Amino acid sequence: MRIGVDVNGRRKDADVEPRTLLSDFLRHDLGLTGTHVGCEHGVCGACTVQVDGEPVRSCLMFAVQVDGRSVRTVEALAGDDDDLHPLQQAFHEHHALQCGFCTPGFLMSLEPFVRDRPDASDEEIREALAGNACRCTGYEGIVQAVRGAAREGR
Amino acid sequence: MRLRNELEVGAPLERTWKTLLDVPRVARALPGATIDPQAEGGAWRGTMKVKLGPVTTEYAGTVRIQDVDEDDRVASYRVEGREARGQGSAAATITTRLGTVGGATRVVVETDMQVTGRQAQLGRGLMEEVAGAILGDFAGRLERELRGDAAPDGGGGEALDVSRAVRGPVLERAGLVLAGLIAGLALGRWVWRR
Amino acid sequence: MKPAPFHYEAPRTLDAVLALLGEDAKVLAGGQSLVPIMNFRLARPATLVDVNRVDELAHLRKRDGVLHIGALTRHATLERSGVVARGWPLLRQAVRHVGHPQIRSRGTVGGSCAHGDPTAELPVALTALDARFHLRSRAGERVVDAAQFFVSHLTTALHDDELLVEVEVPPLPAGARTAFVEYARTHGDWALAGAAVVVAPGHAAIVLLGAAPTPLRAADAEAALAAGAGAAEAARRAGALVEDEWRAALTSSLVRRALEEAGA
Repeated sequence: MRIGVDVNGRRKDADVEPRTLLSDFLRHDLGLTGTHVGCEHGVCGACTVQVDGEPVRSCLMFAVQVDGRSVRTVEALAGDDDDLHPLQQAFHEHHALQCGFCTPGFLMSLEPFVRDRPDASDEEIREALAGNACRCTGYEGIVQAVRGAAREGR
Repeated sequence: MRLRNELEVGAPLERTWKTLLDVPRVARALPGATIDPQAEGGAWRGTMKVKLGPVTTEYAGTVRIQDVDEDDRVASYRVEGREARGQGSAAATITTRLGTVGGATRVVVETDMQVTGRQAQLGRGLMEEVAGAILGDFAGRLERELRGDAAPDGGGGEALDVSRAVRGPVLERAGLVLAGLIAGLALGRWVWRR
Repeated sequence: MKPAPFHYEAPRTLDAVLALLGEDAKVLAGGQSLVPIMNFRLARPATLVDVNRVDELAHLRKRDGVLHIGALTRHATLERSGVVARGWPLLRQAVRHVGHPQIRSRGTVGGSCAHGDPTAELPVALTALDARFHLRSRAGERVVDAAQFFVSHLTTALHDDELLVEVEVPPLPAGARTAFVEYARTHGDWALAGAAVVVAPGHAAIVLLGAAPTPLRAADAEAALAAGAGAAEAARRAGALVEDEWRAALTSSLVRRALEEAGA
């Protein structure tokens, strides 16, 4: 089926099978491998991207579903001159990543959260993180990065 | 950021209410906004252009009606958009509450808005002025829309020139902030490239 | 794994959807329950009918005191809605426990109900609120209550050619207080037990999550409460409905907590 999608601000046209998952479309058809695939059943959060501004599990959507919609992946975060996005900078400063596999999913989930809830408590931050699993860091650095990014934004 | 504005629309409540639930009609009355009249799953895609001095920012995104209280005449909208060129984004929940005042309708607009990117750096005071300007213009256009007058072309891609409505010291302050931002950006790029 | 091949349709009107429903067609709404099952190839529908573009399913409105939830209403919308928070706080209390934020962005009220998982939060909360379910097919519409709608584990009253289009929720009784509690091993995981309660003068609703193949009304506990018994006694009676000893104890404890939160 032919689809036309706005991906990171650019229109992409493609021909896909209905069963092609959005995660696979982004990675294989578009070469945007920043989005990672962990569990393929919606529990790990590594595949999180933004569709029309909302964080969603790309392994639980089909590419055909985003025809005419806008999709944003982690590749869109850094500025054109490769300046790190404030949230990426905060992750860097607070050691919120080690192997980095879960990181794109965290960033795409947290970007709207930091924007909408800059005054969130630690408890609320941890609730917001609940949909993303990290095997390396133990999450403390991630919570601190969110606090740091929220502070910076003010 | 929470903003509260009150508008008075010179039209009866029922017609104003019906019109506010017609998102494409509302968009027509909003200067700087364009909208794809075909909704999908309750969401409309659209753009919004705001011009402040030399800087025009265009947002592209979606708007949907979040919930409707037909009994108390309250409607909430959810708007989300990203800067077309740039890293900023905006999200807002806008709640409109209608009441009668004489033969006209009073609309209380409560906006819960979050903005990132360079627009956010303009500060709350200026944002309030901008919101006030947009809504002031909107009320008049909505009235004309309701009366069936052809509104002067406010939608269709022309940016809302806020500096027209935002006067004096505020504009000067805005100009200074913008100048500072632009200079800072330029300096930053120059330093980085060295 | 990847899903088996299927035919995909994305109609834009309700009539177009109904024309496509039948034996081997599955409705795709939020996909948060269906797509994992398809990814595992536990389900291999021949046709997927994507209803996400149908406007007629996307409303959330209060009219004459009654809440009309269009089937396509996202969990996140329910969570954010001022109308829901004011009139039906139990729904807000329940939906906050549904999965994670990303799941709530896409998951829908209609989808959650039509899926019929007895450990899902919304079916339990909607049962406690005496919700009614509007089912539409080419032949017409019928309306059923929760007890009729939720038939068994992952089974509802929906026929193959029917679509759940709206959930209608009557106003809460005057002076009602509500609470929703659940226990899961990790946050966002499937709940092991839980309860939705509504407590008002002369009215009590206690509905159990995970205690049966469908949301289970603890009628005996409700009667005790209405007759003046305290939270502890009502909780004991609710727990008595559960077979497993540990799950019964867990359920009792949760019901008690919910009732106390709701002021019983």
